[in-house]
Amino acid sequence: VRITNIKRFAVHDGSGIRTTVFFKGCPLKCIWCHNPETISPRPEMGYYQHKCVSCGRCALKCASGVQVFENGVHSFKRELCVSCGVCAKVCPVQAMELYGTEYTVEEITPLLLEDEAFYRTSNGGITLSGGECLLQDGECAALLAEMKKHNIHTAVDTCGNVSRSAIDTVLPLTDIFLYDIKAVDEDMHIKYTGKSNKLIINNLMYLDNLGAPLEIRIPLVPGCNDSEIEAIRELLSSLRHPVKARIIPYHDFARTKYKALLMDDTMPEVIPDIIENKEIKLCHNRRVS
Amino acid sequence: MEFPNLKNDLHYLQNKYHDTAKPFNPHARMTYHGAQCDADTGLDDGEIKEGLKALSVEMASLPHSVQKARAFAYILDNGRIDVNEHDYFITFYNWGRLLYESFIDKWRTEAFAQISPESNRFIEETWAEGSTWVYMDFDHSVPDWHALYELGFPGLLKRAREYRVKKENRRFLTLKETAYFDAIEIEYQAILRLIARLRIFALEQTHAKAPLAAACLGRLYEGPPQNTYDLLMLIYLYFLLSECVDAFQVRSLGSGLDWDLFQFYKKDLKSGTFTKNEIAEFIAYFLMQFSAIGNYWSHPFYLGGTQRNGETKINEVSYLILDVYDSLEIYNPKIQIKYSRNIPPAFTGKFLDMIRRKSASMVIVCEENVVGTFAKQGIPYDDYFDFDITGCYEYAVRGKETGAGGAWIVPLKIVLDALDHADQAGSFDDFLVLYYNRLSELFEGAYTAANEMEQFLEYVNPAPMYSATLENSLEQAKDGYFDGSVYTATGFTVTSFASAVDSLMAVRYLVYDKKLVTIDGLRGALKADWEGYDDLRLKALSCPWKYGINNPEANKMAEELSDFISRYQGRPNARNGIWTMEVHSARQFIEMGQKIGATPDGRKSGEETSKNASPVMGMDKQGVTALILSAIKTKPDHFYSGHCLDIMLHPSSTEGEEGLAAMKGLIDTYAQGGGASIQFNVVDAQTLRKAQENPGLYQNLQIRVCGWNVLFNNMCKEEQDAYIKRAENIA
Repeated sequence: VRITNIKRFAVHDGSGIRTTVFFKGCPLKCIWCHNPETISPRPEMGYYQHKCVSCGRCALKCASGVQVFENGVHSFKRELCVSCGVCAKVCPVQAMELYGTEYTVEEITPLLLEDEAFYRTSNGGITLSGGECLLQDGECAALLAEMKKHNIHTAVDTCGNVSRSAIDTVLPLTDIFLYDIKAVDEDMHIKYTGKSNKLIINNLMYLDNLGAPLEIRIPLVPGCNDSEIEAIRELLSSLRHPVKARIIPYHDFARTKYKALLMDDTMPEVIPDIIENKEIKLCHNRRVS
Repeated sequence: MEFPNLKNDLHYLQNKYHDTAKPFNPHARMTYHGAQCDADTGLDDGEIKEGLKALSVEMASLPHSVQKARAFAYILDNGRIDVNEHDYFITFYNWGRLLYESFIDKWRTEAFAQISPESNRFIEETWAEGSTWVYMDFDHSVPDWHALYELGFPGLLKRAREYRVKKENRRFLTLKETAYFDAIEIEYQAILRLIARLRIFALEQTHAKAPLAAACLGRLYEGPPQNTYDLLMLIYLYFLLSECVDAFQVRSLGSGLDWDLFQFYKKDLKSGTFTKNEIAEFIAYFLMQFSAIGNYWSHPFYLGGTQRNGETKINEVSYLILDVYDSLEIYNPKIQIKYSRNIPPAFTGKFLDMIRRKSASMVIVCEENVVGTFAKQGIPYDDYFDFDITGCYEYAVRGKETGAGGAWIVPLKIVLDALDHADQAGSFDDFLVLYYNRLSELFEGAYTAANEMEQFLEYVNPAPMYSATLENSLEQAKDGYFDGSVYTATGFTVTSFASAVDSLMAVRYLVYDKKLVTIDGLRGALKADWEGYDDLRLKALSCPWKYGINNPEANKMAEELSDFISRYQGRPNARNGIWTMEVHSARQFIEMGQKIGATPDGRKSGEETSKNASPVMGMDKQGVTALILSAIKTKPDHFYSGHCLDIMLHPSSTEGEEGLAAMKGLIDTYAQGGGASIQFNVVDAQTLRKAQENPGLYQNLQIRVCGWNVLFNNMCKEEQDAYIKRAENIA
């Protein structure tokens, strides 16, 4: 399993208190992505220049000559970096961070079980997220199966742009899918995420037909996809089963991560106080087949 | 919730006890005066002090209880009073514990002269080095409020007379017993005279509130309270006269203010005596008194609890009090919530919402675990099911137990002592043996010294006013605060718990496991306050075995230390009761920290220690769930008299219904794990940084510090930085 982070006390990734695992690698490249470190499937180093105290510890440990100090000034030669993460281990101020660590299922399982008591008291559980966790569907299934052995509630947070077989792999082990819908208009979807939404909508219909529990999450970004809200509402109302849908408010707190990863910062400007984090009302078409 | 009258009266109320436009030191709160009283109504403080000085000479041969009672009566008879147009509650101008100078301070000096030289030396030396503070505590009295409600001041006096007669009919009273009853007689007669004087004063006033106050004072002169207003006035009067004149701090305002008021509230609404809005207004004015007094620890009162039949005590008034408190935008007094499985979800949602919106000043007390601590002491259920919360986190059997502090213990300092003697310690186990031996010596020394000191509690500050509320005290004719309660407990309060665990772990990590430094080398680094040892300090700070991250090694150490400490519970104190243990810090994490040199956990000399059962600032890097799991390992429900954990949450994690459910989940998990008290800070680092840069824009930003809220602006830069560092971990 290649992941970037395990977040405990996640309270907005499904019901109750949860632990969320962020998988590395995503098929989409949304311009507003607030986890840019999860897009590439490969490990990569984040360099937080503003935290660096130029102590030189990283240079002493780096075997690739990535960390260079000239006249006391630190420069990070990203092109030479093999993302081994040694520098992050010795950095006293967390200026270097490794995104993308390999774990076995056996290694992750106890970390996820640590907060079991909190899951029990709050109807919480674990959430697999990312990136796109279903790019590693076999590993997801193995992790979910471990959780089910302990009767722990499971959620899979997916962008939906994954193979049908990936969904089938985790389906029996997933208590709820947190399913992202960003736009109904295909051109708009391509414009903002780099990919068509056909597969996403097909998979949504597939899960709906199976009656899989779903919570739809709509990252609504003012000035980008906010004009799509009615179309999304219409799409969701056409589902066979009623679903809960939630607008995820946009923020741009991830800009430092783009900088640390030397990625082009594509995040739109924040237009404050336009959209709240709230459930949206849907008029469900409860057709019976 | 809006109160039309309060708008006009707020300025008066806020300035009643000190001028808010001038600098205010809450630690010296009783040296201030706010609203002035007519000089014709009595003497000023200087004149009263002169009178007391003369009295002390005149009465020198009398028993202390009688001397103190007469001094108390002198202050009440001669103090300045007011029944102001802007207030439903009376004003007593001379509220600065004026009898301290001529009586209590003098008697305290005499008492110390009678304590053995060994104990005196222990007290002085350990205080100077920051390892203990053995002290006389008169700050945790809770009267039997139910007796006060049922009998009122005149009824308590009548009951005391009846016990006296009963006793006199059996045999002659001893001189001490005679003095005991005489003192009660003197103090309660003085209270009644003051009430009568206030009533007459009120009758002479022409403002709208005066007739109401006069009628209320008339009823309280005659007997027990008859309605909600009477009850609040009674609680306020008892508090004011005990805390500010008789020098016994009254911790809880009522035995569950919501339940106490509810009994009168129902009656008042039914009879039409008062409307709900009027009662809400009385509550608002009542709460404003304590906000204005400004006790630095935030004066506590509690809500909720469980009835004898197992049902919750949460009722309409519980919600009303929260609504009023919410609308007042105050953080003093603070509210303690008795939390258990029977608490209505709507009430939980309401107080959690207040905490997340404005970091409201609240402590959640896990009721089921607290009652378990009483059961462990062998106290019967009927006595403890409706226990009182008697301090920031302490608890006691209602109406039957007097709990007082006896000594602060600082286990962090003992790590340094052990290091000084650790040359021969070849393994960490050897070091630990040394540590526990030294800690044990400290406990024994503190125990001996505190027991000696405690014998003089009654000598230094007899408690007639308090004693008259306790039936057992009257039956025995023994001072209620000393040995007249059914149960008495004396608390050892352990502070710097996490700092001690982290320091022990750092010794193991640096010296024995990684062998990065010798014992001598570590001593050298600490002596140099880590100057020139940056690398070693960094390793100490990044030691993987820190308390608060649910690390198994640190958890084991915390559990072991907790077991060691709680073993000292149950030993006899000097008042026919027992010693109990508690884990919290009040201000000692700062004051003791200032005296303690650099410690192996990476702390520098003079820096604060960890507070309560909380981690060292900034060390809870695995988030709140890991912190709670660590805290559970300290077995909070093993401590008979209190244990508190502070947690910090990012505002985003408390948003929406999910946020409330998560906060509840944290409390429930802590409670199921044996947690005692828990309190929240809901704040993000960005806001704190902005507040540091632009204090003017964040004048109302509050932070919970160790049991009470303080304004962020009032903290020094170092303290602010520590909170910012901790907040960064939760982002």
